[in-house]
Amino acid sequence: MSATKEIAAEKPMFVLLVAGFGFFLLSFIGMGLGPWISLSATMEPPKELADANPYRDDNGDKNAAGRGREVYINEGCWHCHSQFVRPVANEEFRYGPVSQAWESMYDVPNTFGTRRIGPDLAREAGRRSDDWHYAHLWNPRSTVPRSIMPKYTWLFEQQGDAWVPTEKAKDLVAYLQGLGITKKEDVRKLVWPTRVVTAGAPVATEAHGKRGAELFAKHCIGCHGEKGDGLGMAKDFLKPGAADLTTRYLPREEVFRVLFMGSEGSSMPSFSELTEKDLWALSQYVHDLGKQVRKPALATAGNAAAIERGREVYRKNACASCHGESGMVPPAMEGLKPAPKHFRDRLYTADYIKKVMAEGRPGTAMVPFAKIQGQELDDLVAYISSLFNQANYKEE
Amino acid sequence: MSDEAKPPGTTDELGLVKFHIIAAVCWLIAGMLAGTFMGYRLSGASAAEWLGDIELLSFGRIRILHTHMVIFGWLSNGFFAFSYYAIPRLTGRRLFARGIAKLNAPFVQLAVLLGGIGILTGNAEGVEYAESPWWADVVFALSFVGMVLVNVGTILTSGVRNMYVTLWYLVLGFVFTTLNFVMANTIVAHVAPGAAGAALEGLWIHNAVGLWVTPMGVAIVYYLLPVILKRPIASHKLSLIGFWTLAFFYPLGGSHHFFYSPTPWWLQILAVPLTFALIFVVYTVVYNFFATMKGQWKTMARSIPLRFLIFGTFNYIITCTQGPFHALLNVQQVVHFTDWIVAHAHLALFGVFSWWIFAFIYWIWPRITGHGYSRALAEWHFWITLIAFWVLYYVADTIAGLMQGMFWLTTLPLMDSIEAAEPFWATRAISGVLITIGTTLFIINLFRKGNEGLEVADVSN
Repeated sequence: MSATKEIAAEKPMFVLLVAGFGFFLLSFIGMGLGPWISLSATMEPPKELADANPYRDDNGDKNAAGRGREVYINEGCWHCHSQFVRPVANEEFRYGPVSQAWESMYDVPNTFGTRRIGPDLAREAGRRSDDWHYAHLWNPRSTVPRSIMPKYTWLFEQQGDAWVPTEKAKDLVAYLQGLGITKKEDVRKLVWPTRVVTAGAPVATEAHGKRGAELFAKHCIGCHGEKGDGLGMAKDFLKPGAADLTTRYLPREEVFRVLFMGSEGSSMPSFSELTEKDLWALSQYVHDLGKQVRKPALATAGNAAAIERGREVYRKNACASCHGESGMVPPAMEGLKPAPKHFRDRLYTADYIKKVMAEGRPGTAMVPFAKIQGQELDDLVAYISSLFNQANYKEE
Repeated sequence: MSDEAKPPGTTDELGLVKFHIIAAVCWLIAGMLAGTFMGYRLSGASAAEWLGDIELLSFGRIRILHTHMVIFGWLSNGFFAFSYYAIPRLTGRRLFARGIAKLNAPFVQLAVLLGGIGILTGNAEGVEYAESPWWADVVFALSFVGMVLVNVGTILTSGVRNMYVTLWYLVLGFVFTTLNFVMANTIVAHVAPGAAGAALEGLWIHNAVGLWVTPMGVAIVYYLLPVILKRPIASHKLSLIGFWTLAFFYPLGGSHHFFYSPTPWWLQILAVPLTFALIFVVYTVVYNFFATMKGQWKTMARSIPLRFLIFGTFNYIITCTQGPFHALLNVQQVVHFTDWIVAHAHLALFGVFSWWIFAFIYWIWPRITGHGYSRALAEWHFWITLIAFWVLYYVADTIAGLMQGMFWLTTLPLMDSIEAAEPFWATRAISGVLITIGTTLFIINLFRKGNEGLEVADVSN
C-alpha cells in the first residue's frame, strides 16, 4: 500500500503542520477573527446599550436578567428557541424587526441557536405578561394547551396549595422580558393591534360552533378552563384571572375584538394570527358559553326607577372616570393596562357584578367598592345592564 | 525495550481496542435510550407531560446529554479503538507511551461521565456540542491531549516517511480537533460575544463533525475496504485530492450554520461557494471507494462489515449531497431551524459514521476475542437498523422539517407547525425504539460465540 515516490503531502510532519495547524489557523483567522474584527468596526449600538451591559448592575455583578440568562443556558432553552430574526421567510412579520449584530453584543456565549421548535425569542420583550410566563414555565399546557414544551416545576415552590416562582424563575422571566427590549415598541405594534373594525359577524352555523370548540380546546382551556369558567390550569398564576365566560353575555363582535386585540396588561394575548374565519368560529363558541346570561341580565334593567337610582350610584362613585359616561370608556382610559370594559358591548350576571364590587379585580385598576351594598348595589347592576346596546346587538 | 521488538498489536494494544469498544457501545446504548426518550417526549402534549416533574429527566437536559454521549462517548471511543488498532499496523510500531494510553482509557470515560453529570444537574454551558461544564472540559481536554500524544506520537516517532491514507486522516483529525475543542470551550464559551461568537461557534460545530468525525470515519473505510476486499484502493491520486481538499475547504464553511443571522454578510456569502465545494471533495472520495468495489459488490451479501461500510457510504453520498445544497440561500430560507436539518445530522452521525464504526467492530471483534458472532443476529441488527432508520426516522423527519418550513412561511400560529410535525415525531420515536432493539441485539452478539467473522484471515497492513 505504500507509494514508491516520496511526496511531501504524505509525510507526517507536513500533514500535521499544514493540514492540522495551518488550515485550522486559516479558518480561525479568516472565518473567526475576521468577522469579529469586522463586526467591532461596523457595529453602531444605540448609546444607552453601548454604555450599559443589560446583564450587570452598577457594581458589575450579575443582575436578575444576567442570572436568568444563566438559567436559560443551563436548561438548554436555546436548543428549541432560536434568538435571531432572519430577514427572510416572513419572520419580520411573525416576530418583529430583523436582528442586528449590536443587539447581542453582551451575549457571551451567543444564544442564537440552530433549531426552532418553539418560537424565536429575540423579540419576546413585552409580548406577554409576567404572569403568563410564570404559568407557562410552571406548566406550558396551562397557557398553550397543545404545547410540547417541558415543565419547569423545579423553578417553583409550593406554598400551601399554591405554586409560587422561586428567585430562579423570576430571574428567567426578567431575562425573557428584556429580550429585544430596544425594539419593544416595534413589536408592540405587531402583537397588540390597537383597532379592529369588522363588517359584522357572519351567519352562525353548526360548523362554526364545532370548529370553535376545537379552537377553544387548542388555544383557550389552559387559562379559561374546559368549561370556560376561568378555572384552567393557570388559575393560580394569573392576575387578573382569566375571565369566567359563563358569567357574561358577549356579542360575537365583542369576542372577536378581544381575540384580535388581546388585552395588554392581562395575560390574554392577541390571537390575531388566527384566520378571520377561525376567529369568527371561536367567537361563536365563546358567545354561546354565556348566551344564557342575556335574558336575566336585561331583566334586571327592566325598572326605570332602579336604573335612575343606579345612574346616581355610578356617578357618585366616579365609575365614569374609568368606564366612561354611559359605559363608553374615554380614550384616555384605554391606556390603562388592562383597559376598563365598555358596558355597551357586554352584559354580566348580577352575581358577577356584585362579586367584582366586593372584591375588585386584582391585577387591574378595578378596586373593591365593598361599601356599596343592598339596594344600592342592585340599582347599580340595573344601571350597568341598561347600558348594553341592545339595538346594535340583537339576540342571536 | 525488548517489548518494542514485538510485532505490532500485541496484547496491550488489543486490550485497549477492546476496552474502548466496550466503552463505546455502553455510551451508544445510553445515548440511544436518551434519544428515544426525548423523541417520545416531543410526540405530543401528553407525552411532554409524562415524567415532566422530574428535573433530571427534563427534555432540555436529556437533549444535550444525547448529543454529548453519542459524540464524545460512542463515536469518539469507536475512533480511539480504531486508531489504536490501525496505527501500529500502518506504522509497524507498537504504540508510543502505552502507559499513558492505558491510564487514559478510563480517564476519557470519566471525562464524558463528568460532562454528563454536569449537564444533567443543570450546569450545561451555551455552546452546541460543547455544553459540558468547564470542569469536565478540562478533564476531557487532558485526556484528548493524551490520545493525541499516543496516536500522533506513534506516527511521528515511527520513522514512517510516506503515510498510508488512513494515517493522513488520523493525524488531521487528532491535531485539528485538539485546537478546535480548546477554541470552543474557551473563546466561544467565555470570550466571544454575540455575532462574533456565532461565527466561531459555527466553526466549532461544523468542524467537530467535519474535522473530527469525518476524517476518523473516512480513515476507517480507507483501512477496512482494501483489507476486506484484499485489493488496493483504486486511485492513490484521488485519495490525495480527497484528503487535501477536505482539509482545506471543510474548515472554511462553518458560518453556514448561521445564515441570515447578524454575522457579517460577507462571511455568509463566502460560506456559500466554500460549502458547495465540498460536493466535489466528497464525490472524489466516494468514487474512489466505489471504484475499489468494482466487481466485488456481491461480497456485501456475505460480509457484514462490508455491508455496513457500503451502506454507510450510500448514506454519506446522500447527506453530503444535501449539505452543499443547504448552503444555497433559497434552500436555507425554508429548511433552516427545522427537523430537515435534524434528519440530515442523524443521517451523517448515525447513518454514516456509526455504521462505519459498526463495520469496524464487526470486523475487529473476532480478531480480539478469538470467537466469532452470530450471523443471524447480525442480519437482524443490519435490517432493523436500516429500515427503522431510513423509513421511520430519516424520511419521516425530513417531511416534518419541510412541513415546518412551509408552515412558517404562512402567517398561521407557530403551534400549527408543531401539530403538523407530531405524527412524524411519533414515527421517529418508534424508530428510536426499533434502533435501540437492533443495537441491543448487536451488543448481545458481541458476547455470544458464533461462527461468523472467523473465516477471514487476518491481514496486517
